[in-house]
Amino acid sequence: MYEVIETVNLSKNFQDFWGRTKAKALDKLNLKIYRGEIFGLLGPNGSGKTTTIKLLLGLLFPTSGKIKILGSSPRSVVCKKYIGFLPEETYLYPYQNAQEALFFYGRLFGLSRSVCKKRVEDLLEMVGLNKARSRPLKEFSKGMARRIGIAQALINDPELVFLDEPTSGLDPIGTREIKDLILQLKERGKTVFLCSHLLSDVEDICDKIAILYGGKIRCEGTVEELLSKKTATQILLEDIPSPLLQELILWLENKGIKPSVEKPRERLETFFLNVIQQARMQQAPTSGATQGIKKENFFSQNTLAEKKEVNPVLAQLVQPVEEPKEACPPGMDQEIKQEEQNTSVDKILLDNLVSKKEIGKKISEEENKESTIAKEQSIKKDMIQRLLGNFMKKDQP
Amino acid sequence: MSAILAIAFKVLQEAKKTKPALLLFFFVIFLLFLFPFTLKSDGTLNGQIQLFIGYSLLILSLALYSNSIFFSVLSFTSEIKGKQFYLIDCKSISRWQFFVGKFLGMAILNFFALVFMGLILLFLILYIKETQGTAEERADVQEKIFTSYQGIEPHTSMEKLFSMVDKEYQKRKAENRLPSNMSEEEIKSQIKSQIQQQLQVIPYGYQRIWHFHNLPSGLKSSQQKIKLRYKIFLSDAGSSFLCKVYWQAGKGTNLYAVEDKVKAGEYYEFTFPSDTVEENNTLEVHFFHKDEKAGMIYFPIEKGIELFYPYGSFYGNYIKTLLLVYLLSCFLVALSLFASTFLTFPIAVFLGLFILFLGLIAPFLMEISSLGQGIENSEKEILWERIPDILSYAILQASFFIIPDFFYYAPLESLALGRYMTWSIVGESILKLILLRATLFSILGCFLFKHREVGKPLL
Ligand SMILES: Nc1ncnc2c1ncn2[C@@H]1O[C@H](COP(=O)(O)OP(=O)(O)O)[C@@H](O)[C@H]1O
Ligand SMILES: [Mg+2]
Repeated sequence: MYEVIETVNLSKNFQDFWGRTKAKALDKLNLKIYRGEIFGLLGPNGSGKTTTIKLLLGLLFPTSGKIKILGSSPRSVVCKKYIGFLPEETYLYPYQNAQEALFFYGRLFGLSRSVCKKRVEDLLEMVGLNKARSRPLKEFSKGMARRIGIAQALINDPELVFLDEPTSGLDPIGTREIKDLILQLKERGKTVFLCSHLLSDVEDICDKIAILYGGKIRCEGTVEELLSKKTATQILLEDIPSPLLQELILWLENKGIKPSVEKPRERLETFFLNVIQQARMQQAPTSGATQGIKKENFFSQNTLAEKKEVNPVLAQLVQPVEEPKEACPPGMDQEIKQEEQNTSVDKILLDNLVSKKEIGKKISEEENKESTIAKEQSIKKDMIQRLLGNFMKKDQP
Repeated sequence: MSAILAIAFKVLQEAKKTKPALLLFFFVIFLLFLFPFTLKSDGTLNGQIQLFIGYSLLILSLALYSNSIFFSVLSFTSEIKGKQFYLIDCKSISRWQFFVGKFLGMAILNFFALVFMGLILLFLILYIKETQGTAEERADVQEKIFTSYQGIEPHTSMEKLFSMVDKEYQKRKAENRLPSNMSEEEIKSQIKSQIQQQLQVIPYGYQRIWHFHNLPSGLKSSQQKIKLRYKIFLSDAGSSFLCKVYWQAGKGTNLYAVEDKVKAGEYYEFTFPSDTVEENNTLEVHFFHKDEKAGMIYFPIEKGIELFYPYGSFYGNYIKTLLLVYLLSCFLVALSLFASTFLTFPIAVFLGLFILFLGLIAPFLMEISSLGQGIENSEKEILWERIPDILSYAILQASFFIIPDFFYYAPLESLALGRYMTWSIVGESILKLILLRATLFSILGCFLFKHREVGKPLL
């Protein structure tokens, strides 16, 4: 594992004109973030989350300490090719329209016009702003601007994405979409650095979190480690008749276990999403953002392989990435998935090539990989034999 | 490169959607349309057009200059203040590329603005010329404004001058009149300037002959007109006295004589046919002093007498003038962008406008500063007493480096007066304004910007 981000004793003080320290925003921050992780930096307002991101991007210079991003300094222009950034507020140009804005950011990465156009199309679709594409950004609501912000952060198909409170200003659907998008990024082996004070966001998607307060990390670890209650076990049952329940409780009490019994509540998020999903099915009109579409082929899988020459650390980062897992977000996603399976030609081709996989049966990753290799080998063998056969024929007419 | 172009293109996009710039633009165009009907000058068509060209070019260039300053600073600082720059700085683009992109965008913007306004202005000039005044007046305009003239000073034979200096020196030496505290060089240069002065003086009853050399070879047969412009001073008469002057151009059969009454200290000119030029492309001009009451007549050394012959075209001059204005605007863009890298919007605009203002009155500034200059012949012997002098001298020199003389680099009056503008001034502009000053400011600006924490507002 190689660090994508590494900070050593990173400190930042804000000073006034006379050099007196006004605010200690960060105090000896030590972070190590590895490739493919979703890292969540949690903290109340003013705890130094944005300052950390600004330092990591070279927008601020550290008072002391060291930063390495993708193996180089945050000011390195080459490394910025592989970085995407969504600031805490979406700072857009009011006079551009959605399309122009994304095209502009794409061009800043040196993407060619045609590539840029293609990506802009995909991203607009992905963030659900296809219909608002030629409206000036000054007319956008906060959530719509946020979506543009997210799109611009992904325009270069980045390896490392910084998201500063990505869900602020977004409706629950947007929030869900962003979360799915982040998971999708992870599937593709990208690293995500996420700042938020919304605990549910972080809890749902992050692998690792750190809690920041007063510029210092107070607690750090994987979500599993930090949140699992080791002293309790939860059993979830279908609705059962009350006599049976009484019996069960009695049985448990006889065993010396005192259970607490309550009706589980649906999460508001799930409930809300279901309601909207129903409204959409009835095709209610809206002038805002529409549902974003998951673009399976937008993110590259292993782009770092082409980036070997960039710098040694990037070169080291070139290692096999896990096959995409089936992300299974709850609720409304079922339908989209259905659609996407029809459109994703590559995937179908791949599936046919790899194995006749039964729908519904989930092949474990190992199996999947093995069968791919086996199949590839058999195809190669086949081809070699055929070629050899041709030679034989030529030699011996 | 695509990143630089993207930034440059966005400047244009910004300009298109920013109203102040547009307003200024239309204001200028409005003024241009208004001018021909309000400016009457001396009543002649020639005077009207001259005034129109002079004023409208001035307005046009001032609009372009102030727009360059205002808009470059706005376009640069608003990105940082509005934090849109965060989204740019995290892309794979260096800060210097951003700077260059902004410069390029402004340069393109200025180019289009200038071409557009320049075409309108040209159209108006031609419109006035073709529709107003009598046929005679139009012919006059054609000759005076729409023909461009190259000026030439009379030839002085250096050999002759030096031999005269030598003779005088020997004479004084023989008479033992040489000052003991001066070197031979110094004495000789003193004598030289004395003789030069004396040569400009014509006593009553005398004549003075000037020679003009190296005129263009086709001039004689071109059947065009040559102009002679002169100014005299009188030793005895007052300022309202009209002195009779007699001129004669050419030699032998192609003689052209002029008689006039002129006031001291003012420019006069007369024209004569180009066939007075001799086969070897020289021209001889005689002046006769026959006015007894005038006392002695004196021609100033600087621009006392100048010959103008047709050379180049009005349109060539027009393009060169606009080009010079354009180069100056590019210099201002570089300066303003430089100021934007470390100042906030109002202060950077103020700095830019202040330098523009000083640049417009640069000759005046130079004059006053030269009056107070005592660094060479300072009487203070001790070094530390001279330090203030040296310091102020250095500061002045530095300021004159920063502040170019705007009317030197864009001599707007040349066009109205029909003076030929040489390419050398264009070359000098490119060299001194763009390659030297603008480049230096840009490099400095990029350096400052590179080391700036943009994630923090300016103090
Ligand atoms: N430009 C600045 N000047 C002075 N103090 C600042 C500046 N920017 C941020 N701070 C201070 O640094 C601390 C951290 O801010 P920030 O990183 O924006 O917090 P958050 O975790 O909410 O993103 C706060 O106390 C804030 O007041
Ligand atoms: Mg913040």
